[in-house]
Amino acid sequence: MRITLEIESSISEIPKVYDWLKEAIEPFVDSTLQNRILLVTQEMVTNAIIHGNKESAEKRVKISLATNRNEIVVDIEDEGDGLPPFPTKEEAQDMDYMEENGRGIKLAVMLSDQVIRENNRVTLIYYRNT
Amino acid sequence: MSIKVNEVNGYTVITVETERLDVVNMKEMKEAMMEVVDNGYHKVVIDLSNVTFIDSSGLSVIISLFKRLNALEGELILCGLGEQPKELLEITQLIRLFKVVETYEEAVRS
Repeated sequence: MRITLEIESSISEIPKVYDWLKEAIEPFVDSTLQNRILLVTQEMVTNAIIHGNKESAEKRVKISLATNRNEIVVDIEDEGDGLPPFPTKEEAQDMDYMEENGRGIKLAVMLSDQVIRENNRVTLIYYRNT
Repeated sequence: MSIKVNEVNGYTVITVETERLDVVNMKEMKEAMMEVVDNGYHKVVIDLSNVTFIDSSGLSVIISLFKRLNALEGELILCGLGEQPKELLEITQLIRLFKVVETYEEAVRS
């Protein structure tokens, strides 16, 4: 399965992404993994809207969901200048969540099996059998 | 209104009435909760039993309230945590820092 959603660069679009993704994964993903995928996708879409596209009316964010027997893969792509470096899982684990900055990225690293950052696209990978 | 405020046993109970506490409503939520503290109520319970989803922006609302109440030597108790909010507090280890109880009744008894 592969499905795609394109949204405007506005925070008001966020519930649309949540509902779209929840409806797609609910039938075959347990609630713990569902919660993680929904949270991390929302964090990355928020980053794409605010930091990537800087809430520009001319720019879009594209979210794709692909699944196979082993993995669930979510791609989030914006039209900005590229993403900052992400911490490693070990670095994210040691970070102080009381600090304001970068909580969303830390959560993405902590709660995903793999995070791949490439220019203005982030790919989140979840293994179905773990 | 996105929150309801009650006085019980000397505690101010803020009940979040939305299912989500996140980037979409964080500004409105933070303003409403800070207003409670600014009005002089420093023993605060946040009842999250209606909330099924919190993201990092929603978490920042709770952290801001916690920091403000700490500075005022007040108290913050969280109750009614569902599956996702609880996991978020566990993964961020904030569950060790915040006072968390199961129910609203337990919170206002403490």
